[in-house]
Amino acid sequence: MQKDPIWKMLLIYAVLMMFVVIAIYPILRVFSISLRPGDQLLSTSLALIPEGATTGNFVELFVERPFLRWLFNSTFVSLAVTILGITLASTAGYAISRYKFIGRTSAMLAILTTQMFPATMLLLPMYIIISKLNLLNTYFGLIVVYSATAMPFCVWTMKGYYDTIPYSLEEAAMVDGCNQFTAFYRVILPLVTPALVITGLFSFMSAWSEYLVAAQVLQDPRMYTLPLGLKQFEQSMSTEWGLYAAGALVVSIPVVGLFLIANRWLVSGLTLGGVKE
Amino acid sequence: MAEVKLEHVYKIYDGDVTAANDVNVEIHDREFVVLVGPSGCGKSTTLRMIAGLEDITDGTITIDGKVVNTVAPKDRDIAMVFQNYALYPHMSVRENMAFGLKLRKFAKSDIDDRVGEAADILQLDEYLDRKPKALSGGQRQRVALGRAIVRKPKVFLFDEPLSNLDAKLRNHMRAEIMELHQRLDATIIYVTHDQVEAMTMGSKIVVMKDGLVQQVAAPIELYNQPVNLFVAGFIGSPTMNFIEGTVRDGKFVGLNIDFEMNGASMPDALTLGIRPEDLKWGAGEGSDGQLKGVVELAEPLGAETYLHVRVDEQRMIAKVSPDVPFQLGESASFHFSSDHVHLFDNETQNSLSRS
Repeated sequence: MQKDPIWKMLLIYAVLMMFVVIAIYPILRVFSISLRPGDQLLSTSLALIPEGATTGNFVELFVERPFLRWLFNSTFVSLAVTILGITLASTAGYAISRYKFIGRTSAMLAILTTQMFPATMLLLPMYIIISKLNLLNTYFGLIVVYSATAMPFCVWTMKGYYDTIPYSLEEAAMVDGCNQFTAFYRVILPLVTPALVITGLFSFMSAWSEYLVAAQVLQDPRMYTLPLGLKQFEQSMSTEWGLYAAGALVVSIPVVGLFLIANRWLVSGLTLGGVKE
Repeated sequence: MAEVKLEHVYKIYDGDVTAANDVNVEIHDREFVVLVGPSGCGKSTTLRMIAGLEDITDGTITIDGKVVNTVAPKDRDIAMVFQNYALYPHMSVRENMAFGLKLRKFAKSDIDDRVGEAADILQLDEYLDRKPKALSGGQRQRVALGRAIVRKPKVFLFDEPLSNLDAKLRNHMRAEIMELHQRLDATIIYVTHDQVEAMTMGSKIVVMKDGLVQQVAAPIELYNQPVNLFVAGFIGSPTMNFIEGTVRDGKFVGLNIDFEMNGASMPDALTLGIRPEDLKWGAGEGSDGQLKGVVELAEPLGAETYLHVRVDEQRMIAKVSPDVPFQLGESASFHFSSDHVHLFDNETQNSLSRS
């Protein structure tokens, strides 16, 4: 392979560095704020470790504030949405990809249409539905709304992935001794791991960092999820920026961890070699 | 014992497309039956109906005397080798072969024995721990075969298993499958569009066209006594020469062919068929039929030569010895024996020779 000339490499790296700085700077800034004693948001110092740096904000967060409670709430809701999302999207996508039934195309289009409305527009009708179902101020209400909003993307993703898997694999499995479900479960599902991971991540993220819906559905502070909890640091007269920043950092850690873990499953070519194209 | 019987089997898609039309075939124990025909003739559909992968619209399919119309594929005791291999990409060769046995809850030692035996037969021992993507096309097809034979099913179904392989590998695998048939003593139903494969492998051949069974016969019978124009033209390479004509005063009139007809009354319009190897070089004094034409093209294959001869407006092929003294562009005479002539009714397309 021919190597690019040095000036081109320099240019490429310069542009890349610029994007890295744009991406990293806010995080470093938040990190720096979280270590500042008091609530010095507007300090002009550019030092990453500020003068008099302290982990006091982190300690306060976990010891004096109900942060662990919020963490539990968010984890519970997000995991439930993820499990529900993966289960429903993997089966719905499979049915849409593999079976012909009346209303299949219109169902797909209807699912897609729901994505065309901004979330804020859906807020009021959604609130009315949840309240009529007596699900206000329940985890279940929140889980239902999050799952419903994440589902269209997940179903389409799964359907698209199933479409790439040749039907003869299921047929081979059925001749080998599977029924339709075991063929799906033992042969097809392992081959759609990348799509399952994407579906899972998307479902998790849409619940983990969501604020607007949670603010409508949950009123009891003991049920607050992390975004709602963090917002509590913001009061009418002052904002506890140190705690806010420390909380924001802690909240982002599981997400980063999840992406790092999921990365190894996001590989292409899982079906290579199975059939002759 | 594994007999497969198809009685008045129909497959009609979406109310109007008939893929299988009153198919009646009886397959005996340990027979190697080949379903052959052009694309869209219904051969694969028929095989898939036997496998249970396709519902049948009407009729009965029995395996070993048991009607299997509504029996799930897994309960039919069959194994199938697919055209595109259909190996499980996430499983190793060993897991691919063991999959069916595991589902049937075989003991681990039994599974290991059977997989080992199959790997041995198919020379796959050293690849057992590889994934399908790390194998060549021929090896993948062997894994697909292995997956079928470990199960020791009553019936093996092959759906064009060699069509994705190159010519050399295809010949090799063809021999391997035939050996396998002898070794396993199994009933095999094999689908192909390649008439050479059909002729060389099958103990019985079912020729299909447009969902209809045209003829069921042993290869030689099919070759020597085709029941209609389609079978005559489909079986044999190069294909049979056809000359349309009429009968006048006991003589065939068509092109510049001189052929004395004898015997029974013939329809007005008929087609005369001669296989390329039955067209002999030279005028052949006293032979039953003669024709003259211009040699336009020669295909020397070493052991024999195909001469493309223009007779009036029609091109015919003669398979002759490589040492015949032909000249391209020159006129040449050929002769043939009435024993090797096939006559077909133009209206019904059926053979008149057999009646």
